[in-house]
Amino acid sequence: MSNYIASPGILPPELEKFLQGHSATLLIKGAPGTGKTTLALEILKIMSEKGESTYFSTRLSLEKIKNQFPWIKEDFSFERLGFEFLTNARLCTPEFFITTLGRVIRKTKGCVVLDSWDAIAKELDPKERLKLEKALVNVADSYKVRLIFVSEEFTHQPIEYIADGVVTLRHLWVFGRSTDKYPPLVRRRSAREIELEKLRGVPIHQRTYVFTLYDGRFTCLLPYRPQIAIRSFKATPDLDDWHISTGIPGLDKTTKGLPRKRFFLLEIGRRVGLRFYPLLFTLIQNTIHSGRGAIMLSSFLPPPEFRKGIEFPGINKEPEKDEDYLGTFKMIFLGKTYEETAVNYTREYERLRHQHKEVIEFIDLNAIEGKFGLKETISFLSDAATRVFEANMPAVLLAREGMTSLDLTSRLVAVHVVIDDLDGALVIYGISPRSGLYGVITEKNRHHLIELM
Amino acid sequence: MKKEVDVRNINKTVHGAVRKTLEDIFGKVVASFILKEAYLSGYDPLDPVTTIDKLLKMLKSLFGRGSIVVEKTMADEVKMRLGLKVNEFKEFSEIIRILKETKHNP
Repeated sequence: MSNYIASPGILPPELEKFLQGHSATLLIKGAPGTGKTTLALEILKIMSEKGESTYFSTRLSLEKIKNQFPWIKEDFSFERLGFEFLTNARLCTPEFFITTLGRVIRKTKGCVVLDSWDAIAKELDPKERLKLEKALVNVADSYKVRLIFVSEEFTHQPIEYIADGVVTLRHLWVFGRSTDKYPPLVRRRSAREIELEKLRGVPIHQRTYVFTLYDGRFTCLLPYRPQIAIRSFKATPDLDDWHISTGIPGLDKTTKGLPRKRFFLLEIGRRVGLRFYPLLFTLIQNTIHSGRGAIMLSSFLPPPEFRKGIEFPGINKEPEKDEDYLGTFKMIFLGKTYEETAVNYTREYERLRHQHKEVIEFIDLNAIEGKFGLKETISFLSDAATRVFEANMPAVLLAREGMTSLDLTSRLVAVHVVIDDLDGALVIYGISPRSGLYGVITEKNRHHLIELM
Repeated sequence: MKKEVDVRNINKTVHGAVRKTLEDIFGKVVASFILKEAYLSGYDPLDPVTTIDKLLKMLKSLFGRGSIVVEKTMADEVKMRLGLKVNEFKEFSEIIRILKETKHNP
């Protein structure tokens, strides 16, 4: 997983814009372990490109920082950064700390991080603290230095009114409430969220973003937009004799791929809409680029932006000469009756099987249940189970959250994966086999999963 | 005015006013920092009348235009402590000029 992301370290766009502007002070709030130091270092990395920056730590030594955040050894020049580690700040007086800080601000051109500000501020009475914070903000303004306060205090602090920007980091429990018992509890996952409370001078279009601290970097998951155009898709080889690759490395690692003779269930959360289609089409692309046939039963053809890069024979275009080695993809739409649909589908499936030795089925159970009802859905599922077993091939089932047949289907499948939405980002987690939460990101025209940790 | 002022205490009074103003505005911690830095750049607490410009320069560099308010507050405090009529002088530098004259020609 470590090499999946070529460019980690992504901040919310509003925060990036804020840092490029003229505002001087930012307060980063959050409980212990929420990622405040990582965010502060990420900001320092950006700001250090503009000028000499300094990091005051009241908690960590230089060695600990280097070990915890190995990337800063490569990305930062410590000499240029002018690191100041006041690890024994609790032992020094606020006067000494302020004297050092004041001198640093006056010679720094970039950014000064105070991690954590509480360690100093808590030694002062509230009035003194307010005056000190006002003075610091004023000095930072005057010297055009960015001042980043890191704080673990959750109650409203006077500095929130003074600072130009306030962001809060927090842990979240998502997909299943903590009070629920099985089955919702099996869906419960933890994630991290950044809330942009105030960014003076920058309009906040999206207030909260999900982020991960994967690889010691602060990587924000931006809202997922279908933009994959797979023109030079290379199929991923089968994982082993029993498992076929999904074409998405992270998903292969999480689920062990598409299991032969078994079902692979993709459950789509309510807020995902049609945004799962690019992911699904990656699975289909991988199938046809492996020289296999793919057949999909659906109720409609997704809009063009959701099927970029995938050719529908007879719908988009005929495969070009150099693509002759590709397998065939057939899309079957629901007929007027269940019988007509089942017959038509089976006929096309058999045709494909004559063409290709191996065919993977993609069945939209939601479409069947929505049009024909539960009984027919189960009937179709039962037929599909026979086909996959006989053909020694997997079948991918699509189900929507809240479907009546979902519980039953979940019991029949070897793999149950959920695609859902968190603050506009697409996230994936496995119910069976159980896995952590992963964010879907697109990089270099491929889908990747990044662990939300 | 000159007769009303105890010349020997001018320095003590001015420095007291300066310190009090800084503490009122910035708190003890920052006031201490400002005075320390000003001292390093030439401000002498024992002779503030002659060296006050170093402190004012320091304040201007630290707080930019915000230092004008600090300067005015300081001027008011000095006027009050020295018993000067509030509207008699407009600028702190003017007060200092008068104090310098007083100091040299008591």
